[in-house]
Amino acid sequence: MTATTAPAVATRAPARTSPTLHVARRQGVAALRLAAWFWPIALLALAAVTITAWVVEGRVDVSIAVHGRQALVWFLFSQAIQVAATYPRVHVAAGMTRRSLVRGTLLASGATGLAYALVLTGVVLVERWLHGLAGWGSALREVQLAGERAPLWALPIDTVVLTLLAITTGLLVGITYQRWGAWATLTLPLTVGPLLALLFLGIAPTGDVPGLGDVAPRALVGLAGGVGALGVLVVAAAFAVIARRLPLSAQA
Amino acid sequence: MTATTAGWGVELQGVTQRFGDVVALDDVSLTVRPGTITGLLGRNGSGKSTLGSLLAAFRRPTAGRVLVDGEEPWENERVVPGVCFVRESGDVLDDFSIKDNLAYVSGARPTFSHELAGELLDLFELDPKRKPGKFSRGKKSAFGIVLGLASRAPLTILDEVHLGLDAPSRYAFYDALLADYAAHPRTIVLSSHLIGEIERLVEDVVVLDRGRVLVAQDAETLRAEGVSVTGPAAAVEAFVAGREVLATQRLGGTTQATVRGGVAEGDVRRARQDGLELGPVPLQDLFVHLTDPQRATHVGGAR
Repeated sequence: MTATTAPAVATRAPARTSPTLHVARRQGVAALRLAAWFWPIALLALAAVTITAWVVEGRVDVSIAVHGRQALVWFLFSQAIQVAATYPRVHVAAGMTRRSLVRGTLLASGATGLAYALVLTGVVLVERWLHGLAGWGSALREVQLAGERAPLWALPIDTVVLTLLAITTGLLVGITYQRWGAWATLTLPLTVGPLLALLFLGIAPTGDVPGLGDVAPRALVGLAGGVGALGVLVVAAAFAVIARRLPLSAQA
Repeated sequence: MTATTAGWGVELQGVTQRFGDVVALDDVSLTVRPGTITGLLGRNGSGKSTLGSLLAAFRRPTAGRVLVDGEEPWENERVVPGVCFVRESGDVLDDFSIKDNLAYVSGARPTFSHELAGELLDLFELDPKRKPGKFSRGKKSAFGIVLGLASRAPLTILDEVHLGLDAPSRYAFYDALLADYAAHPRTIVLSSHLIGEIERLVEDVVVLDRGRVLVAQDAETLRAEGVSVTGPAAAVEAFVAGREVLATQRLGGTTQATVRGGVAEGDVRRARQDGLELGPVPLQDLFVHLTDPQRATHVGGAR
């Protein structure tokens, strides 16, 4: 067989990396492409809401960006469901194990969650600076840790726990539907429960929880961050256990 | 593992696969020789895709052992990169471009050939910037073939992968398969309903029927189990009288009959005297005969 035109793909074979890193890199590239759509739209929405609030109220004394966490959480959650629904079959068909899928996916997910949290923190800080120039306040609401008494670094911790939990929860929901089909709906209270609980707690900051009001801010950050991290680990472990045993149908 | 590997063998030992009440494979024991092209034949629902999915570690069998190159493939870091299972529907990232898909697969396949992939993309007129999700059935089939052949996996299973192609593309695929197989010998399991078309490709044949192995032997031996007789209708009818006739075709005054069983030397002389031509039995006729649901008994082959 001969080709009538030049090969459409480069002929140099790439160096082989570990499957885990290969998967993490490919998923990371895909997440970056989505982020390139998400953040410009999010910033436009942030500017639009801020301007609207300024026109209506005359001043804006709260952080609008922090309110945008809801959009961020459900965006990451949906993205993770798609990853869990799409990749297992493609991954195994490409000649890799479920083990490397789990490791690579969690690696990419961790990096994605961290990156989104850091970007959101940066946006909040820029927003705070702009509000300061305008003579406005920049109160943080709907956050557990980063209240008035919390140190500045509490905000990224607060946010990263939420983004990581959103992603791991999405992975868990996606893989349960891959494994059990429509029956997975029955597991939703268990799979989505931790994320909903964290979001609900966001309405009542941790400092307002009975018994925690007198805890020092730094200790409170450590305590709540630790509990959140434990929740992320438990959900991620559940995803890993199901994904490692996932049978794939012979039919498409 | 290297790009010049001669291929991996396969052994199934008492493999049963159930899906609830349905038995897709029933106590199957089977060997696929390394470095051969094996035709995997069977009617719809006979268990061909299930067998492929077990070899590719899509799932674990309900019972029995599946061995690829001597090891069970499930979660086997050494084996799975060398097993390529391609189905017509394609297991690709539909929302990513061909280029992205090739990057994903090639990074996982140590034997992947970008050069061959490029040639096949040109052959099937596939644009690397396009997404498989927007392809026609034929283009999806073609992309599956690109992945299956360019992977050059020591065990490649092509499951009805070419059924969506038009005739010229199918023959281009057969030529590409043979050319690359000759240059890079490996084990290829080719599942297809188009038995007449793939007959010239296969060295071994496995026939599955309702989850069991009816026949598992080399194609030459299988073809020698019968003979096709072509000539004047009356002479053919006289010659096949008393024999097991698998199929008959008539065109004007000429008849071709496929009969099961060997032909004695005296019969060969008599056939020549009567102006009859004797030839190998078409696998298609044997397949139809073997898998005929009206047949009361199963014949030959490993169980």
